Amino acid sequence: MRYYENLFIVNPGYEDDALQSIKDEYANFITDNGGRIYNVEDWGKRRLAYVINKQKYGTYVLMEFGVDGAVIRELEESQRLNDAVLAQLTVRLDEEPDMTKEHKRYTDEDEDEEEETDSDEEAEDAEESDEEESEEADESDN
Amino acid sequence: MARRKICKFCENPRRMSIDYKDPKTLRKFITEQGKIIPRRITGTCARHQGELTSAIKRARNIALLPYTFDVTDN
Repeated sequence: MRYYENLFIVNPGYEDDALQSIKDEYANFITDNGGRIYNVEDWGKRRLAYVINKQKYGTYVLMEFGVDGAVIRELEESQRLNDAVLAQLTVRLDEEPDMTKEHKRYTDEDEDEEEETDSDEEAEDAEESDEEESEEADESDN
Repeated sequence: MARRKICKFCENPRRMSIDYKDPKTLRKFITEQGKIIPRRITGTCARHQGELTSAIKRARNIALLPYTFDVTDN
């Protein structure tokens, strides 16, 4: 058994019960195949970086679970065939998901608050040095 | 003049971690066109640049980051 996380995007037209049944479908699929679910996280609706199937928004759902590798192919296949799922990505985790640790959330709200001043500084910093370095690089090219 | 920059991820591993699920951090390492910024400019060490690259590519795959920003829009 190996540990994986599966992030998939559900068509924003699916809400409440319809969304829940999709989440349950995949969670049950894992448990039915001898896997164990550690965490199911709903990020809510987010703006997609690019349009997928004519959708600008999508509901992101993250599942962390442990299961035999062979099941992954079936999971991905069934997500690919499901019209409600716009995209999916499965990543193998190096270690067992820690259920006790608090999960870092990357929702849209986060992007507006906290660390804002900090990241601004860093951004400026990067710009400055950006110029310096590229000049330098130009010279060495000649 | 050019001060030696220290890799941001080595400098403060607790606050700066590389995760494809964190577009906010990754966004600092792509250009306005969405290209990955070379490490000669950001100062990121080889190891972290590699992690960063795969994280950005994963994020693109799942629409957290764009493959390219639409330039014609402007």
